[in-house]
Amino acid sequence: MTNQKLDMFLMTNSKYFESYDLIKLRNELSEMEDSKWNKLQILQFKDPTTMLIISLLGGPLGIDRFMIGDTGLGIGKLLTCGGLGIWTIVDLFLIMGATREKNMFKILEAIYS
Amino acid sequence: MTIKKSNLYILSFSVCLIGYLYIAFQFNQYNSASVGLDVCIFKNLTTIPCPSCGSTRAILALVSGDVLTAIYLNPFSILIVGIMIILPLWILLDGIMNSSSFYKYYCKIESIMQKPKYGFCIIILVICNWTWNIIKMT
Repeated sequence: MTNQKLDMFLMTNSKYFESYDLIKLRNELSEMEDSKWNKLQILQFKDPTTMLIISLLGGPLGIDRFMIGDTGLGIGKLLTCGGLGIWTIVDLFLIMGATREKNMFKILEAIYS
Repeated sequence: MTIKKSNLYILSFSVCLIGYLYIAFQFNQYNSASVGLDVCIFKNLTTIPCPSCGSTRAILALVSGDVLTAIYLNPFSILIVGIMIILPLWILLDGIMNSSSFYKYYCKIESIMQKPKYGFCIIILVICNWTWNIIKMT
């Protein structure tokens, strides 16, 4: 893959990943076969800011956790009124990082599949 | 798409611990017949009860042996009590035996629940309980 293409991809999608993951991601992408490029471009990532809004509105019911794919934790949050209200507040700070980690997991899965 | 093993263990153990402390606190309040602490953010903001409102009272009823009242107040309380009894024991057992059976089981359950047909059933159940909860409280 050309460097220009790679930088373009990283620039448009950098907000979906943790800053410390970007260098690792760049290395992974530069070593990737060109045939997987099309598959990567149609991947849909979850926006951390949207997740923060959902966490503000639907946090007590665990909707944020369900949406990023943590079904088990979502049910835990739903059954306990958002972890007695404590977990809801903690998740307001954690959800953006968790979303970025999920996105990283998703792209790595696509690269190695 | 699952969380790290250590995170899951720490999180579930601390949630159970906080749950036990909360129940102990509420039990104390319950015995002294004063007004208990209302922690549900959803209920405090909207005045509409959330799907799991009433489970504190239901668990307190279960502790004093009144199963029917517990089911009437919130059927989820049976599930919560089951989880709260089994989870810490399972985590401790995993720690002693140095195995990861709880983590494997959690991943398996999660992958089952992510299938649309099971997820749909769970959503319907939760919405039914929520509607019943709202009818009960008004």
